[in-house]
Amino acid sequence: MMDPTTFGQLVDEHAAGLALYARQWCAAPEDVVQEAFLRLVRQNKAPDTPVPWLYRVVRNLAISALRASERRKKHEHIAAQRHVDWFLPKEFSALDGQTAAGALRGLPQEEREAITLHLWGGLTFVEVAEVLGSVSSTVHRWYTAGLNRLRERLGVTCPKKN
Amino acid sequence: MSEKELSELERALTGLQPKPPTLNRDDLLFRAGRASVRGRWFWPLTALCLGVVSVCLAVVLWSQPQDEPEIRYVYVPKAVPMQVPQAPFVVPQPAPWPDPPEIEQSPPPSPLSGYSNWRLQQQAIRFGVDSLPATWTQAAQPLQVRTADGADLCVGSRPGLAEPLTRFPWGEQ
Repeated sequence: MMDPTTFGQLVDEHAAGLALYARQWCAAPEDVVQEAFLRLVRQNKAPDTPVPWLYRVVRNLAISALRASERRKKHEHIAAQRHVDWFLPKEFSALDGQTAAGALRGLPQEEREAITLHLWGGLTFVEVAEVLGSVSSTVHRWYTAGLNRLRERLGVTCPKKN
Repeated sequence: MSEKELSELERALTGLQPKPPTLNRDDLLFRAGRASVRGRWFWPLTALCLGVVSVCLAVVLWSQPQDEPEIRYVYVPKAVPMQVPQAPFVVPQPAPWPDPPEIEQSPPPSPLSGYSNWRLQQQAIRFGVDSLPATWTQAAQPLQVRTADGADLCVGSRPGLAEPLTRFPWGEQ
């Protein structure tokens, strides 16, 4: 059983990252994130690492939601997913959120998941591998390849060497 | 690509803030509190089971045919006391006592047996020897003892018996 303080802290710190992670599959990630948190408090014994556990549950729920929505209204889901903003307007970064989100959508799923989990989820490569059911070396390879693709798509220039 | 380029890109990507979900935090915490309650289905399931059992019992009671109560007479034979044959009362005979051992008949008591020595003495002192019964005086015979050489010795009589009390034994006249 998890105490309310820890639970509230998890919600405050990881709800946005979990929603971003769930947006890769579904247009309504809030339901998925909320269900993941509720499943966390229903656990008889709290998981040792609740953050990777939450990401894994969100992933499974989001994929299930995607399949269910595809069966019901495939076209509406795709249309809705296109208009979802992944990031806040540009304030603290040199990159544009819309552009970055578009570049992320174009990545292969493994590379996109690895980058999302590591950069915005704050998980280590071992934890990312645990979520994705892989090994850390493979995850690191996916991550590096994804960053290279993003750099090409976003037009990030290499810093000049003096 | 160098590690520095990657770190620059990582830094730029990390600067992008994910769009916060439209989660109602209070609603989520409330739902989490409700979900964390253990055994929340115990009492509803118990109430449901008891309700089903009650309905089943009511249906069974309602569907039973209600006949008039049948009166049955049961005759029970009256209890008759039984005659128990009684054996004749026999007085137990005590075992025959063994024959008492034969006791030698003592000789009939002398006329003097009823007198004690003290009384005879007092009577003799007061009224004289003549007042003593006759048997007393007749019994005063001198003792004769035959010695080893055949001589008979008269050793006198028993004191107080062979001779009449003419003088006191302590020598006074």
